[in-house]
Amino acid sequence: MNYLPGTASLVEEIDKKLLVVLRDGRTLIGYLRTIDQFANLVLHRTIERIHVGKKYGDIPRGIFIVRGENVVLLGEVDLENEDKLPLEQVNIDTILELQREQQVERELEQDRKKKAMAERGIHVDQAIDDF
Amino acid sequence: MKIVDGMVEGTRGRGGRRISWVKNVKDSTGMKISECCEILLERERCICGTLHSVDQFLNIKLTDINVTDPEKYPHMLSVKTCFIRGSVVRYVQLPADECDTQLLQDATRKEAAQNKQR
Repeated sequence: MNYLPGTASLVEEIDKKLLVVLRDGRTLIGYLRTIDQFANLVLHRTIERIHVGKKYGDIPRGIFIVRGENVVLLGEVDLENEDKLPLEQVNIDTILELQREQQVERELEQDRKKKAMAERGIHVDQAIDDF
Repeated sequence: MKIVDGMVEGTRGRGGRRISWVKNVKDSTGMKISECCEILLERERCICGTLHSVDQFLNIKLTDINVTDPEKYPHMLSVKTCFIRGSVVRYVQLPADECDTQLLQDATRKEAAQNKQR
């Protein structure tokens, strides 16, 4: 066997630029410095990347110690093709504003759905509240 | 959060109502259950790739990955190989035509028989 399975395989990723997706949906990009058997991670020179549609923004964050249970996936960033993505970088304020707009839109969408369901006699929250 | 901290301090007062788990979730998230579900579904993602390695916790390493819906997950475009923590895996789907079910069945039966003998 010339490879390590499971969390041990992360040894190969040390000191590389990694993209980490957390359970709450956040995306961090940084250099992996240390790992352990739980996939607890130490990320150096980390940025948080926010995507909205085809636009993205980076917020510099510094050093992270990520508890393993919050990690969904991590992958090596392809440095060669990093700049060739069909995405556009915008500044922090713009992306935060876009994110807020997206959030509002989602809430409206949810309300619409709920209304449509209610018209057809389905009350999701009430049904669960009953007990 | 209340839910993960374990025991709730004190006791329920005489004749006090039991608080359902759902109520706890709602109190600590400040959201309705349907909204929580919505978020959960939104976070769901599908990744296809070639299996590089897997361990006893179902930690999975994939190479040559493809995200089924790149518009929804634009950050995955720059990633070619990835490590997925086993605890977040819901299911693994094998391509049906590359999976010899007959062979698998025989193998499991053989192993079961061996375990019986021991």
